[in-house]
Amino acid sequence: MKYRILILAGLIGLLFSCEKEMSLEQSEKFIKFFGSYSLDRASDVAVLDNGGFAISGIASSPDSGTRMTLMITDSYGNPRSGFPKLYSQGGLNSGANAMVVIRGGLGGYLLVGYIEQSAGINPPRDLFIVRTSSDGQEIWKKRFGSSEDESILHATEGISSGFILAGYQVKNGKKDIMIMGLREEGDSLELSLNYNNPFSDNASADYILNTGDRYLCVCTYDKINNAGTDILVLNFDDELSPNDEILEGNFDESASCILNDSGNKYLVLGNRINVSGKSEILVHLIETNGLLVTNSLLLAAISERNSDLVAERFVKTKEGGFGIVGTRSTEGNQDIFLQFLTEDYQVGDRVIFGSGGNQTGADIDLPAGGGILLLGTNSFEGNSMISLIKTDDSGSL
Amino acid sequence: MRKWTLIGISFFLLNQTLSAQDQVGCTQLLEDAREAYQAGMVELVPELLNPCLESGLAGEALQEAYKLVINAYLFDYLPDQADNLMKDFVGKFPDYSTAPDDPGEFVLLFEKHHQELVRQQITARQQEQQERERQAEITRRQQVDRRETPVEKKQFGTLGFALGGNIALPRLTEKYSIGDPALDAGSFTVSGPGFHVGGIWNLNLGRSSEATFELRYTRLHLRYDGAPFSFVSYQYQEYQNFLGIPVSMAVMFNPRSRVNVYMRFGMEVDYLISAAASATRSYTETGSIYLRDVELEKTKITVTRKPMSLMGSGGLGIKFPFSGGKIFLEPRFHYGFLLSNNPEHRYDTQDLTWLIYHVDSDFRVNYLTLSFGMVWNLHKSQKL
Repeated sequence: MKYRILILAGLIGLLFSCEKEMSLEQSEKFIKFFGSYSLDRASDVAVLDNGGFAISGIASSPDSGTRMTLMITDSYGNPRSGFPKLYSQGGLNSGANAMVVIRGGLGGYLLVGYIEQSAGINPPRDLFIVRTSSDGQEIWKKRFGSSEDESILHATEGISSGFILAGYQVKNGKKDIMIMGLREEGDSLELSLNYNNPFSDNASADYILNTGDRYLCVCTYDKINNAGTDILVLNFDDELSPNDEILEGNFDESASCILNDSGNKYLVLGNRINVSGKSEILVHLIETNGLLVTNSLLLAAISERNSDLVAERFVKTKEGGFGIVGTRSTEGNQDIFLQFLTEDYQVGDRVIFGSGGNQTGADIDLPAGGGILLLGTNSFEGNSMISLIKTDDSGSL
Repeated sequence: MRKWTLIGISFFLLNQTLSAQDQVGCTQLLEDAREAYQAGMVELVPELLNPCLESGLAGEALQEAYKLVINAYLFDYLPDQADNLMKDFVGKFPDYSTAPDDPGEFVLLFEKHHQELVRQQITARQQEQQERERQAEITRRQQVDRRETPVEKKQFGTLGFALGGNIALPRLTEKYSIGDPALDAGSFTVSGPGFHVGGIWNLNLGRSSEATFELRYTRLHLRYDGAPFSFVSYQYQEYQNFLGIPVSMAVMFNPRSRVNVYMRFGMEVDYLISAAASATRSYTETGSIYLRDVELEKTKITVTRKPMSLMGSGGLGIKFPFSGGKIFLEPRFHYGFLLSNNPEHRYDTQDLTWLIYHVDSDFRVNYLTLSFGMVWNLHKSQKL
């Protein structure tokens, strides 16, 4: 009799079953958008110790212009209460190009980017740095700059303390590499890296890596006599006296990212315009010995016929291979790509995300529980939003 | 071998020789008997010819021998012998016609036997005819009997069709969203009607119940209104085409009435043929003149739906009789037990995600149908 009652209760329960709370599956794969009906753009994503994600970028609204923004989500990709946070100074337009997550998010965040010097159309930019608590509250903010354009493109924590910033500054109309140190409190270090290239025109320090005892910074570097650009690797410590290695090529090349492969081996990610006039991905291997770069080798050039492939960031996957995120442009349509590279640097599968409109890839990270996290921007006509994609280890949604 | 062949040929020739000798003897005896008859020694004639009547003569010779012997008996006042022999004669020569020179007594005796023979033949033919007619009558009666054996025509079911409209009532079991599901006000709403059409076979289970087997094509129309962000909303429309095999049982409340009211309950298995979706995303209260609605034309999404579904159903109906069948009207509710969406392919339709900001929530499909149909009686014959 009890058995029959249980069955009946089960059937009634099935009949009137209601909507349930979020299941764990919602955190395993997802696509999430953040932003408003204006133009928002993603720059950096990081996995936090609590399983959530931190996202930096640029938020905008027709009323207040652009703002440096920080978004903290839970492991499901849903914004935590109180986010997004917007940062500016004097109501001027600002934006974040990168972010430093301090102690897995428990120590707060450093947002780096730019702030426009004045209102109006395309005024010069200054460096803009905002230090926040773990819940996004502003601790301090700093602004550095000259009358010309400066911007921070990437940053990392300092070897001993503080932060190291990489970007560009414009002097006399020439865009050049900018690397500077910053104390914990936001004051700039007295020392600054001065890499003097008289042919600089469109150079920038694009990504800086803290190896534990030194920094490796990959830059886009102007060749002599305006013969295009190469990738430059700067190897230095807190003294900011770099040794350099130019990864020469025959085409215009630009730097995107650098990561440690194993020991003293590092992979440098970049792009170049090939002989067909299309952008392709470059992966270089460099070997270091202390502050010296002892060897460099072009491992792979990845291209697609009739498409531009622009790589932005890459990570080393749990399987030992590599995942590269970037943007594929085909006949005016842009999609996010996830390009795999095997452990022995062979070109693997490429997964495409996107549809009509433009989807651009910005950053990639690996969640602790597995899978791959991709950050990008989804644009359609007059609206763009920050997009966060979480896939399984193979890039499948 | 050669020896046996010669012996066989000798026996054949010997036999031929003996037959020729018999025929020659009776011919001679016939001549002798003729001469004896003409000479008035009629008592010799039977002695001469009787053996030859059995064998040794044929044709006209035999006919003449009979006539000589019969006339001899008549002449010798042996009417019984004459009568017996005439009987044989008429039997052997039924087509004989009396000659002018035949004696009057012979003619009378012949006519007597001939008429008797004719009468017997007529009688025999009549008997044969009667026998044939009797057999034909027996056969005819048997056929008639077979045709006219009383049988009962028993109705065992009905066969027909049903068509009608439906309204989808999907049930959200877990919300997914491009934004935060907890803040997304999206929900399924009542959509425009769909339709269905199919064949029905009802099988009587008794006076008050019947089992029903159907094969039905259904087109469902689903609508989801999503609002993943405060500034954007979208309307998502989905069309599912599937083939279902409902099996149900109807119980009549008033089986003895001409108009039957019944309750139906059952299960059905549906196979999805195709699914397509269209959608429109709109910005709300942005005040921007640059932000236009984003429209997605009808897109195939079959792969994002489960191909099979299992449903339970229940409803009420009413049947009206007409000549040879019934018309029915039946509202029925269909309850989906399984997920309609395929979680493994939730993000496969990239246009829906990236342009419309839609992502499939987990949902099951329920729907309400109103069917009109006609069924015709099916009978089977049963002998009493």
